[in-house]
Amino acid sequence: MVILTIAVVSAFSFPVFAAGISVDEQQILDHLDSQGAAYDVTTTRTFSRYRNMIENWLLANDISTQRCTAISACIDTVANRYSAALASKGLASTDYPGLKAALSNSEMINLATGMVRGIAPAFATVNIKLTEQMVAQDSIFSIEATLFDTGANAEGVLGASIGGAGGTTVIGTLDEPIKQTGFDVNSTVVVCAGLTALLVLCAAVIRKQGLLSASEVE
Amino acid sequence: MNRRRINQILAYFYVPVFFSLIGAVIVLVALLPFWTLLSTTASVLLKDEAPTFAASLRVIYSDPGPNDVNVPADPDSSSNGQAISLSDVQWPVFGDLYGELSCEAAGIDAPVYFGDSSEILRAGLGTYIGSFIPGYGKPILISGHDTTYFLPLQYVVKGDVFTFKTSYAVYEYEVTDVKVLKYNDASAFDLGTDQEQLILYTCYPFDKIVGTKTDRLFIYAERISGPDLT
Repeated sequence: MVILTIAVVSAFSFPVFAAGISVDEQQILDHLDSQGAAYDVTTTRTFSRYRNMIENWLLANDISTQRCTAISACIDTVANRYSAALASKGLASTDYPGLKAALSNSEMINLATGMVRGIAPAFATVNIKLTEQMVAQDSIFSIEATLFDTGANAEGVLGASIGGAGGTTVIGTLDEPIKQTGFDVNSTVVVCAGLTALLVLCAAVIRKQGLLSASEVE
Repeated sequence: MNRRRINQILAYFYVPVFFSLIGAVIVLVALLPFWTLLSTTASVLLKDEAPTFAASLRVIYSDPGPNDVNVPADPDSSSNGQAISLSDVQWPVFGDLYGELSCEAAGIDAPVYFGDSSEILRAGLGTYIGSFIPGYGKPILISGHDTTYFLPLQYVVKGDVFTFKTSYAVYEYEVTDVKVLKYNDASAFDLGTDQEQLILYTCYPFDKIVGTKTDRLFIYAERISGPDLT
């Protein structure tokens, strides 16, 4: 389902100012809603998040009729892959909870990674670059995908960053809504403890070999 | 000169070097989380003019000023009857500075960006891009660091009023609830609702420095003035 929503979030380009949502653009939202309903995911929090991203992107951009059609095709591509994942576990298309229960964490990660990589070519046809990154937080691993609008003439852009550097603009991210907004020094404490232990070990070796007491020995 | 003697002499060189390197690594790693703070402080002290924290971010915000037609003359006035066409609004994209949020009672005054990446949160407050902007009639989820822009969030109480300035209008929101919840609490907000609600959050507690902060302070506020976007 996450990947289903990625497709729509990703499939927009030509960042020009728009006046609301056009009829063609509304059809994209409708298509997403219908596919979401087919897979029984429209009530999930994830669906709401990414549908909102899509709506924001439509509000900020004008999408041509031709491009809207291509975007709908991207939605179908992702839906088909998701459907295949369900079928591989012997589940019905509406059994989203069943898929979560049927897959281990590692299988879920593998599925997400495979889908992200598998649908990337479809995104490229609508000038969207898709990157994925493994993220670990509180012992929970997840895939974070970021979608960049590369524009019509920016194929092969590698230096994507926020704010459109390198001709790109972030369209959507698969990160959680709630961010880390305070210091997290756990890693520093662990590393410092490790280095201190290393220091003690070195001191013990040096002491055992008598490297620092040579003149006294002599 | 036997081999042991040579080793002992060499030890006078490589042992200090070894410990110096270890010490440097420890200092480097220990300072890494605070590097931004230290470098920013240094730049503030060394520069003759105010530093720009958001050079790579785009600015679409301009202060509407007190005479703007969409600025409410009466803070208690309702938004009923007012509306702005979406065609008159430059909708922000990721990385855009599009507004300014303030709360006089708590001492908050900060720029608001669309997006909430770490780069953005260093520059100001961040709007989650799966939420919306003021006037659209849907949730607005905004985060800020508890050591900088949202440090005063701890002083916000029910009834306080936040002023949200954008280029197209000025909005006011009254705080209706204050909660401390886990960062992954599903009941904290509903982004699928069609009700406009300003949701602010930051890490909690404020005085905890060591360790991961898994709690968040949430502030909920309802719109009390400002035009609808239609």
